[in-house]
Amino acid sequence: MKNNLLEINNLYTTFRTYAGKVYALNNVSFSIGKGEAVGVVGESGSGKSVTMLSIMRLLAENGFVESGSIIFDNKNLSELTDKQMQDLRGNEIGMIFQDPMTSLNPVFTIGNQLVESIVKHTKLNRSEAKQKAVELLKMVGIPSPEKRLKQYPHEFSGGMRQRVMIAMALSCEPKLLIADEPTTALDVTIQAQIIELMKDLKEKLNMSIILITHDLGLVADICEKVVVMYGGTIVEQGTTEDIFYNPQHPYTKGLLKCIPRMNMGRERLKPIEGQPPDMINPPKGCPFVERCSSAMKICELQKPIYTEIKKGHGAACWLHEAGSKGV
Amino acid sequence: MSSKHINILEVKNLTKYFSVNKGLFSNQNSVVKAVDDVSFSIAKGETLGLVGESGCGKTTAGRTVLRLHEPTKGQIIFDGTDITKVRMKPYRKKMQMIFQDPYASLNPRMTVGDIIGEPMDIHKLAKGKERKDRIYHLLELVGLNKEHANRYPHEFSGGQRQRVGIARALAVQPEFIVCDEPISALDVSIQAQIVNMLEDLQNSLGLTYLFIAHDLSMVKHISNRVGVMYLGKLVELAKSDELYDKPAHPYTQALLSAIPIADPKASKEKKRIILEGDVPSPIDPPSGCRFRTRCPYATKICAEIEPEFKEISPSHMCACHLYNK
Repeated sequence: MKNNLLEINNLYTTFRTYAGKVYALNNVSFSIGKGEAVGVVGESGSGKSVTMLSIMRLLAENGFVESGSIIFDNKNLSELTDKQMQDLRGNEIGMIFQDPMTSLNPVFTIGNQLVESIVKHTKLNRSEAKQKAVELLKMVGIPSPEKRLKQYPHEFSGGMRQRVMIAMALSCEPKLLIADEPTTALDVTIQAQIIELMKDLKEKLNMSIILITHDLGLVADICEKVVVMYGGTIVEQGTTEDIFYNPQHPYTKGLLKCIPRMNMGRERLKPIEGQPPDMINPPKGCPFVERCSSAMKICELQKPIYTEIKKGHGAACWLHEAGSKGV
Repeated sequence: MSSKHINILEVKNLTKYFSVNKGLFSNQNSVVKAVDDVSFSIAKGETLGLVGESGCGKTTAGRTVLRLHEPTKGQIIFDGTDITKVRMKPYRKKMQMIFQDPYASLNPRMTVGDIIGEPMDIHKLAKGKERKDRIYHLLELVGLNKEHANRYPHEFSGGQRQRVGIARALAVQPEFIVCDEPISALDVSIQAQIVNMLEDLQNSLGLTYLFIAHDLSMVKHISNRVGVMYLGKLVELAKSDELYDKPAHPYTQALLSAIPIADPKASKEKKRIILEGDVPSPIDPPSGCRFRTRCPYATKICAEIEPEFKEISPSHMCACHLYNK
């Protein structure tokens, strides 16, 4: 376990809303090794982004980490002061947000914003920081970086802006990069460019990546490990091969079946029927029970316990309990 | 005219330019060539997919076909009648649209029942009990139930809202529906539900779709034929299997190779064609072939002459100089 860069143990996060308490995360545990890429997949509202915001301590005011520990590089993040946390963000953990159109400030030039973050996080002065900014833009593949630094975000296309965001996240060479749906707002050909870039940088800088996405194709491409989330819990995790070739949880199986493959004919898709659960009144037992085709009585009554099938591959499903074999 | 019975829609040289003001103190106007000289036809009961990157004009093409934008040039022939210049109201009953964003396309102050009933009121199709019954019937048709009629859009999830949007389009019993990225705002597990439903509705009601999307694997799944657009031009059009097995245009090839495959082994073996740069501005598109600035095979002729959109093998159309020998 010493090689783990990040370890999340039994994390519970809740939000207080007017409609009641929302149990956004229930007992989430996973870890990431150095230089490893982990994909976190799940529907909207499954708790993917909340997990990352809990790690970064960026939850909205009504969000609370109730219990659990987050150990990053042998430091317990919940024990750090706000100031220490601020130093950690950007320096050691970089983050790319989903929407490149709104995560840059429209009234400052790209150069201004990049230099600001470099000066803040490193000991470089402004002119050195500027030099560094040029290098970074070059690294993420933006042509004529000197000229581009003087431009404003609206003069950049979506793909270019996302590159700027990546450059910014990489400016302090973080040990961990959290990418929250980094290519969702982009076109496929631009997505391909960004993915190649991320793979390349992971190799070069030996950086760990958490990739939050709903695109299973991306996960298959970049990640070594996959965490599948549903209704605020981890329903299955394992290596990419485990998840794609030997899925154990009915949700993972359903998810893999409902995407059309290129080599497939026009046969009917097999959707997962029903809707994701209401997180204010979550089901008492397994969160997936209402949509699961192999649900049993116990699934309604009790939450399944996460059990490992083999080292590193496990699922939270009653089907894997002793005594329910052959279902 | 025999083609009248085969093709429900024929689009000839459709062109849509938008003029943009260069600034407060400038008299110069420039034009965005959003859709430029696009021609295609859709047979009755068929689904034509239209793919391309954002800004390629696929949505504008879909909207112009319905004359939600007035075409700058070209002809739209619906069921044998030229509708380019006519009053559209009678045709709105036959041609409908499903919008991309289920969060923005439903009026938050109207109940779902009224949203679905509104097209019937406008076209005076049903009143009173009949109207109510039809609303209930439509809700059931799209997999919702009667009780939902009195609720407001915010009480529904994205997938359910998209069902409401589909019910609204079906309220006037159209023959032809433009589906503008109907599933791209939805979760993967919900997308398949909506796609299956669209296919069922097509079979039971004999609908014809123009299906606009950027998710190529979904488009392949639902469409009989697929057209690929780049910067306002249709660059390739073929049967969907043919297009995916033997893409002819370099852009289609790159587009297909860029799709991530949800299979780790296949994904590692696959060679990607990485296109350099971004899509050029449609205000000042490149001369000749518009793709030449990013095309790995571009030669001198590509900058000089615009390639003709022509048949390279039976019912496989492509606009590229590579096939001009």
